[in-house]
Amino acid sequence: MTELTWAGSRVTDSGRRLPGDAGVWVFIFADTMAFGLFFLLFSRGRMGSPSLYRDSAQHLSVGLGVLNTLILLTSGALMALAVEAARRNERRLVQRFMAGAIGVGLCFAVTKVFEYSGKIKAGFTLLTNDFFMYYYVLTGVHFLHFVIGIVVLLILSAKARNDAIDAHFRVWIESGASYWHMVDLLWIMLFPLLYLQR
Amino acid sequence: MTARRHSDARSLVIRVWALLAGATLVVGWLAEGRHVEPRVALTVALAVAAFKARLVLLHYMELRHAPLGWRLAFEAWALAAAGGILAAYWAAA
Amino acid sequence: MSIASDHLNNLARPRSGATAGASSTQDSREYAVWRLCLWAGPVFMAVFIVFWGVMGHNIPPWNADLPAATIANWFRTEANTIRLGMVVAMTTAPLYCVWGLGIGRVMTRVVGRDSLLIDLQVWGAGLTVIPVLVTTSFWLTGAYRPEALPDAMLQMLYDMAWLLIDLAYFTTSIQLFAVGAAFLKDRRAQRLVPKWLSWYAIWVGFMFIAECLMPFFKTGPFARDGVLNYWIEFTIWFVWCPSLTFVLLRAVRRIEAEERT
Repeated sequence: MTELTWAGSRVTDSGRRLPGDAGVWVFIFADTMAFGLFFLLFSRGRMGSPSLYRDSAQHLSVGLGVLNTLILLTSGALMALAVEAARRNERRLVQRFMAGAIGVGLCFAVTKVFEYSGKIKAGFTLLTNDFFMYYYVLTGVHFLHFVIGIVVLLILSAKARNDAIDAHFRVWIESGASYWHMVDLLWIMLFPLLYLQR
Repeated sequence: MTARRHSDARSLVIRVWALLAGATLVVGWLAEGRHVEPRVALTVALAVAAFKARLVLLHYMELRHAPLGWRLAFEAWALAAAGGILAAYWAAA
Repeated sequence: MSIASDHLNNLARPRSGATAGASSTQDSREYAVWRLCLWAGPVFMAVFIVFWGVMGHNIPPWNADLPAATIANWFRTEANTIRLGMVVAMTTAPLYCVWGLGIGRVMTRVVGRDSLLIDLQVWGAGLTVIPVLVTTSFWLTGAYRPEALPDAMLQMLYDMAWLLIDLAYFTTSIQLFAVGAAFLKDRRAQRLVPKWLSWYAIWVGFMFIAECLMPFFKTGPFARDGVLNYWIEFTIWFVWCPSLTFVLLRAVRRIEAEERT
């Protein structure tokens, strides 16, 4: 069994390993579980007042939800391509794909601001009712994760510019990409949960 | 990694993206277009969500090559999440 | 501020004689005290659970939607229990800082004595003591002369304490981030603190941010007695302390063996 030190995760006898740093995966797992709990809380709340939740959900825009999903998916794909380029030591490509991932990713922030301000102007706030409480909290917490992800991607971009594209860097980019994919993964569930239960 | 493996890896990313995007658009169309009852649209949407989650987990997050415990834990999560939401939805309907 | 930092830094720094290698009772006492400081953490937690938690009716706290009369009645009928609970909780609160100092010293063996991460951790732990001390004094105040105070005032004392103890979370987050970051930098072949525990600490530090929702809700998962803002938030923190302590006690044993040879 090869034991890689802090850089990289352990490779099992069958050659299986997690991408990036195993510790980040603890974080990813914990966060995913936390959101699972959020889904549960929302669902339980919905079972208590289905008509309230159903009527409130009508006020969300499916189009915006689809757009958000597409943005995150595309950003994720670009990140996956960046990781792939890093494995080939292609610095230029890594930088370009990462710039793309960040650029596309930032569109998510734009649509979110647009969406939130529209809702607030229409009079739907965190305190309007239970549905909107969950809507703002779940998408808000998700958005915080998104912001942290963007920061991670920006740091990775700087590293891609300044550091060698070596094994050390690959662990960083794999870890960052894994976290970023988690942000995407969580939204994949949030979209039907919040927007489509009508 | 060989050149061929690299271009395979790249085309995999793109193919997965196309699947994910396509599935998203189909679900959006179903939900918005009122072609089916909202209940049906939601059920399809959650099944699709589980499918999309699995794609992201296995191919983007590379759990296909990860120790089985991790892979199973996350796949179970995706199934439980989608299934749980769906069950609660039908229970309330 | 810098003098205080220097002082704290000096405490985190082992005295030059301690690493001389010569075996003496002085040296072994040094490590014994160090271990004692680390034990302060779990001791604080255990005492806190019993005296603040059980006797102070904080597992979970009173729901925020209850009428003032309910809270007032509790202060009046349970005054002595609350007084005793808070007295012991207040006395032992500084142990959390003592624990932080013990952690800080282990950090010197990983990131070096001059690392800012040590200051951040120690200050984070130290400042966490303040909301605990202050809030326990609020509950104590409510129990001191409850018959003379109107219901609404007693309710305000109770609310005030919970608002402070919950929203002071970031001081503890700073401690958590610093501990996590520092021990992740461990270059030893066999780390002093396992990676997952460091990442767990960082995750807990971020999770605390959800407490920001608490003042907006009187019931539900985000209220002070809610599934998220009480049960989950407090549990993930309570679980971390003994876990880290267990690992660090083992680490100190290792360090002692390394440094006394």
